[in-house]
Amino acid sequence: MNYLWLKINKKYKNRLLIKCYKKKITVYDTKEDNSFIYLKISSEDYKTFQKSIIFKYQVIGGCGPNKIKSILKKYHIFFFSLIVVFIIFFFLTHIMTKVIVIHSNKEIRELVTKSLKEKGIKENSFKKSYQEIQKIKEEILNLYPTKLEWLEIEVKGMNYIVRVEERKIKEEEVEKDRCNIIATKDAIIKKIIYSKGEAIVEANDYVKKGDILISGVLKKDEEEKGVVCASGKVLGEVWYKITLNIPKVKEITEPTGKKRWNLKLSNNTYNDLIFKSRLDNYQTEEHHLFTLFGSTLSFVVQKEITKKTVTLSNEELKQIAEDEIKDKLNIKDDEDKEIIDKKILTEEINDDNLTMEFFVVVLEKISQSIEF
Amino acid sequence: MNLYQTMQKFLLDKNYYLDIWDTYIHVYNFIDIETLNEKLIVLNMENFKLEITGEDFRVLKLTKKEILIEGILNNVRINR
Repeated sequence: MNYLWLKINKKYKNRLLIKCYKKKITVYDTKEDNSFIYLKISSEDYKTFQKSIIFKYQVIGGCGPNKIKSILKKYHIFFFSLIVVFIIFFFLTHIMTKVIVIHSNKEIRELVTKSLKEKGIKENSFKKSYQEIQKIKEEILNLYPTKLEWLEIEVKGMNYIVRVEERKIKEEEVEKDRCNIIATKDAIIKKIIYSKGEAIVEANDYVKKGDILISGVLKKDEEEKGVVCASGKVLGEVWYKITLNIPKVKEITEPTGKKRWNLKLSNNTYNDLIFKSRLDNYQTEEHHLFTLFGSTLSFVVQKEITKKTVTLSNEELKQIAEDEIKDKLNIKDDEDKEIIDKKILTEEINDDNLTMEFFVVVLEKISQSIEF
Repeated sequence: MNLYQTMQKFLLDKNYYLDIWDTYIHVYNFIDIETLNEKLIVLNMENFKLEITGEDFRVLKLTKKEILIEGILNNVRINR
C-alpha cells in the first residue's frame, strides 16, 4: 500500500481529526512539532482527503512504492547512467575481443584458431571460466596428439593469448642402399669430406654439373667389390657474373620533432583516420586500443618528417653493392657459402645511376646425393 | 464477507473494548467522536458515552472503529 505524509497547521488538529474520522479516512500515524501536525494516510484515502478537507495542507513525502517511484523520477538520469555504466562494465569484463595464437608455423596457428573457434573461444564472445578453458585445452590436445605438444590459453584483458608447442616427430631416415654424390653446378673442387663411398675427383679438379664426385660403387683393381650409399660433402669454387644498378641519389627522411595525435578506425569497409591530419609529411605509430564487433580503434601518433635527397658517397655505394651481391647469392642464409673473390668488370656512371658488372667467386657446397 | 464477519465476531466477541496503559488508551468500536482536544476526549459508544480526561492528549492512530490516544490519563468515565 502507498502512504503519504501530510503537513497541516497545528491549530486545525482536533477539527481535522474529527473530520478524518467522519470521512472514514484512516490515520496510520501522527507526529507533531511546535507548529504543525503530520498525518500518515493511504493514497486511496488521500483522494477523499483532497475533496473533503478544506484546511491548507502540504504533501511532504510518501512511503512504500510511491516514495520509491518519486525517488526514481527525481534521480532518473543518475539511475539510467548507473545502469548504462554497469552494462558497459559487464561487457568490458565479460566480452573477449581477440584471440591471438602465438606460433611461427602458419599451419599450426590456423589449426589451433579453427579448433578454438569450434569450441567457443573466438572474437566477440563471452569469456569462458577457468574450468571451461582447461577442458577445451584438453580436448584440443587430444584431438591432435601428433601435431600439438602443449597448449596454453591465457586471459589478458579482453584478449585470449594462446601459446602452442608443436609436436615434432622425427621421421626415421630410410637408409638407401646405393647412391652417388654428384655435382649440382660447374665448379672447381676445393674440399672433399666423405664418410662412405669412393672419391672420384680431387681438389682443384674442374667438374661439370651432373658429374659423379663420390661414387657408391667400391672398386679394387677395376673390379666391383661392393655398393654403398655414398655420403659426404664437396665444396667447390663457383663463378658468377652479377650486374647491379645502384641509384646514386637517395631520399632520406628526418624528423622535425613535431607530433600530432589521432584516432584510426578500421573494419571491413573502412580503414582511415577519424580526424583530419594536420601534418603533410609524417610517419605514423599505431597503438591498438580495442577491437569490438569487427571494428578496431587505434591510437595514432603522427611524427612530422622532412624529406631530402642526398648523394651517396663511394663508400656507401660499395657497401650497397656488397649487400646486394650477398642477397642475390643467398650468402647470409647458407653457412657453407662464402665469397672468396670479387672483381669489377665494368662500371658505368650517369647522372642518376651507377651500373656495375661484377665477377664473383663463391665457395659453396656443390654436392647432392642421388640413388642409382 | 459473511465468513469474515463471522470470524471477526468469533475473535472479537465483544461489542467494544478499552485497553488502558500508563500513557496510552486504545478504544475499539466507537461510533462517533463528540469532543477531541488536548484535555478531553468524548467518544460515543453504542450504549454510553466514554469520557477521557487528562493532559497533552495526542491521537496516534485513528480508523473507522479504533482510536489510539497518547497522553497523561487522569480520568476515564462511562456515562450511561
